[in-house]
Amino acid sequence: MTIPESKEQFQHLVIQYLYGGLNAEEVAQFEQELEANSVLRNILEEEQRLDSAIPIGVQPQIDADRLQGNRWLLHQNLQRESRTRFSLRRWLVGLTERPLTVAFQGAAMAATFVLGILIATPAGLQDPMPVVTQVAATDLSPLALINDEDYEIFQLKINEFDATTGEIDLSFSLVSETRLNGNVSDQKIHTLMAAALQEDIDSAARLDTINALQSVVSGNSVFEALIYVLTNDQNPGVRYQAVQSLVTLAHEERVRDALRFALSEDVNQGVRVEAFKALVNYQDEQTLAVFRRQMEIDSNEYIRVQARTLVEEFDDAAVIL
Amino acid sequence: MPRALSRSPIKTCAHFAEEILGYPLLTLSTEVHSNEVIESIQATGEVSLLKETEEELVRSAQAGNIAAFERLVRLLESQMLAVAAGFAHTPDDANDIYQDAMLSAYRALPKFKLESKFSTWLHKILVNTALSNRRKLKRTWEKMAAIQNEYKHEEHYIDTRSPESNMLDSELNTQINNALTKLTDTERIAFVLCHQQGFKLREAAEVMSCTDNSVKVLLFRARKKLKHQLAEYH
Repeated sequence: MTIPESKEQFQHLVIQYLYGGLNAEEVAQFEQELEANSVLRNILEEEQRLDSAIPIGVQPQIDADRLQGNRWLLHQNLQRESRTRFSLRRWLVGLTERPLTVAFQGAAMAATFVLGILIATPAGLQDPMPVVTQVAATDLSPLALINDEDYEIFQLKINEFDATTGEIDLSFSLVSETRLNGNVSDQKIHTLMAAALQEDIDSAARLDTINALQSVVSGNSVFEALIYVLTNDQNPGVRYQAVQSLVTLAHEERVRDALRFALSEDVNQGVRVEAFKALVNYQDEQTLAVFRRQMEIDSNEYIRVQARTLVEEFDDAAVIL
Repeated sequence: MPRALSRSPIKTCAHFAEEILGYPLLTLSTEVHSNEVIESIQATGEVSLLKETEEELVRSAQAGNIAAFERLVRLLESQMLAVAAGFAHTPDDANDIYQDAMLSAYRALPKFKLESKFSTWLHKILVNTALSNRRKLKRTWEKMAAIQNEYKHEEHYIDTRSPESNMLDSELNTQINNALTKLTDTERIAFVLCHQQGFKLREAAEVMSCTDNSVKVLLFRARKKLKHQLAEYH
């Protein structure tokens, strides 16, 4: 390490020292020089004064909410990206690189099994097996939208069986895959989607459903489903979409109830901010009570400041009257 | 007539876990390595993937496996977001920069050669995205700042050296945010990487695709401006 002569060179050396630009030997030499050289010592002390205001390692806080929100959003963006940018080359490369997975082996076995049945069945009895079935929406119940032959049994369980009498107690579940074509404004379709909003376990599916339902949000079943989602859904992204969809219906008391609940109870700041914005124009007694509470305790500065302003304006107006 | 099927749409523990977490769990191929990762963390005390595991995840992600890519990003996401937040004017901008950068990285993944560290490559993309986004966002931000002058939507700084990660005094916090806006883009990048994130000069130079000496000069200028801006605090 060359000992510098000018003040600026000393400063550069100090920067190297502070930010790991010197190796162990140079650090030892620097510290030795520090004891003997008052100019160098003063420069280091001057630089360290800045570090007392902004210590090395001080950085923006990334809280769990923000981390989770970004993680979820990235997942959605990547899903969209992979859907829209399918690359045949990438797929082929992946196919050659990947070993035969369990899923692939399973699919091959299933295909062999189906092929075997088809070959063994007399020609006259063969029914074409639709991959998905298109049916007309005929009833409000999702069950009525499914053809009988599309039911499939899984998890059949024999609970009790008496071999001597033949009495049996069993339980099983049914599943079906059905495709519907129509318009989202069709009551039968949006009723089905509203039901899915409350039952589908896939967050991405619920999110897509809310987006599709935004144009028919006033339908009663959709309305109820959105309120349910806002107040119950575990995924903050889905709740966020729900609160945005409900903004136009904030004149409804039931919606305001849900918005007030979200504002005071939701752990996600984004959801609370949207709920707050939706409630701003409805300063009834209950809403003001929530504003009064949130202006003191909300962790979000925007909500605290804006709620306080609104409450103070309201109180001032009341005094004048 | 009902017919039996092989499909099993059962709500598994994994489904519930994904529901709660809000993102997919590992695929079978990546789960295999989770113990290795834990052992690596235990052995080194660092949150880093074993090299061969990282390589395998990268290859899997390059073949289009989104879960593998998310797995790679997950160990770095907190730091990447903090870096983005260091560059951006507001937390929302930082989130946008992070999302844009991660999508760019996913798109560019087939071109990634395993010669460099994945984290360095990802930081490079983040820095480049931040630079291009800041140019785009600058005008919008200035307009918004003029309108919403009374409302400061800013990053909150914490001191990561203390075990409690104490938040800074709100006035100093605002002053730091203001002072950082006085830096040029490259000065700010050098400062965020070296001062906030603890990168060594050589590491920051690799991310910024310049020499150690350039980073040193940028840091010198950044510190000079900050000393002037924060004179009353030191």
